[in-house]
Amino acid sequence: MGFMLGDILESLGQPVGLRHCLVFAALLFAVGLYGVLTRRNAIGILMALELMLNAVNANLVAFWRYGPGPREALNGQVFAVFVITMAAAEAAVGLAIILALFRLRRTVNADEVNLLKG
Amino acid sequence: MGSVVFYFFAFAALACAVIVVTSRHIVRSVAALFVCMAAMAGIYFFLSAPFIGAMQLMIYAGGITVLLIFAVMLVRRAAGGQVEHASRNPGGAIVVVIGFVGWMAPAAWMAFGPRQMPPVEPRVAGVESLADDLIRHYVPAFEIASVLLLVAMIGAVVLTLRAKQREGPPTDDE
Repeated sequence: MGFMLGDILESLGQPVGLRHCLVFAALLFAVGLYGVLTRRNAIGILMALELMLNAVNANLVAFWRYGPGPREALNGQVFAVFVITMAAAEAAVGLAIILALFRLRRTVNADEVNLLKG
Repeated sequence: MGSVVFYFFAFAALACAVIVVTSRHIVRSVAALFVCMAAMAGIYFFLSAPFIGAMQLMIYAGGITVLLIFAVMLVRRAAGGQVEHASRNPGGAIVVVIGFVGWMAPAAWMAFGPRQMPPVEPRVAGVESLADDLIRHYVPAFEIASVLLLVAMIGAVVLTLRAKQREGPPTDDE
């Protein structure tokens, strides 16, 4: 069992490696996941979603940085650029949907919007 | 020294992320999101990806946060002051999150050994070669991304305009 608390504490002194970045990104993704699951406010859900996208980006850049050949290819950075683009588009459309929904139903609470309920 | 920088930004990002998902005031959430995004930009600088860091600062910290603040202000004023921002059934979510971390973090930890950071030439990490890559090898994806942004922009305008028309009093002359 290589995953012990003492092991982690010991590795805090070591230079930062790929696994430090990956664990950090996993924690950030988990915090975002918690937000998506618990928030009732649609804007809050969107914010938590941005956190999750950021964790993915951190993973991509970390894999590029520690990967086999940062000299040959910048694939990780290119992917991160596209993820940021997607996130910008998603935020714009998501907020437009939220505002339209608010005009229609006078609420932004995700569990009060059940227009599709049969 | 480098480790201290990484841990500083990582801790700041995680702490602000926790505030984002747990705060009861939505404006406080947005402010914490701003700090979290800025800390993430610091991590990108640490990983010698300065272009991504700058994009992070401009798009996330600058653009998306302002967009969120606008949405909060519009909704808040129309709702008459306070917006409900409380959380709901955190118990189940905590179980899911602990399951996720308990599964992912050990896997990531054990799969990759204590690998040193390989040296990166300044030219490689710079904007120039990234642009070169983007224009040379990823042209279709680049074009699709620009079309996606255009569609998203038009879609956002159409969505809000249509809702405004529907909001008016019902008329018979259709």
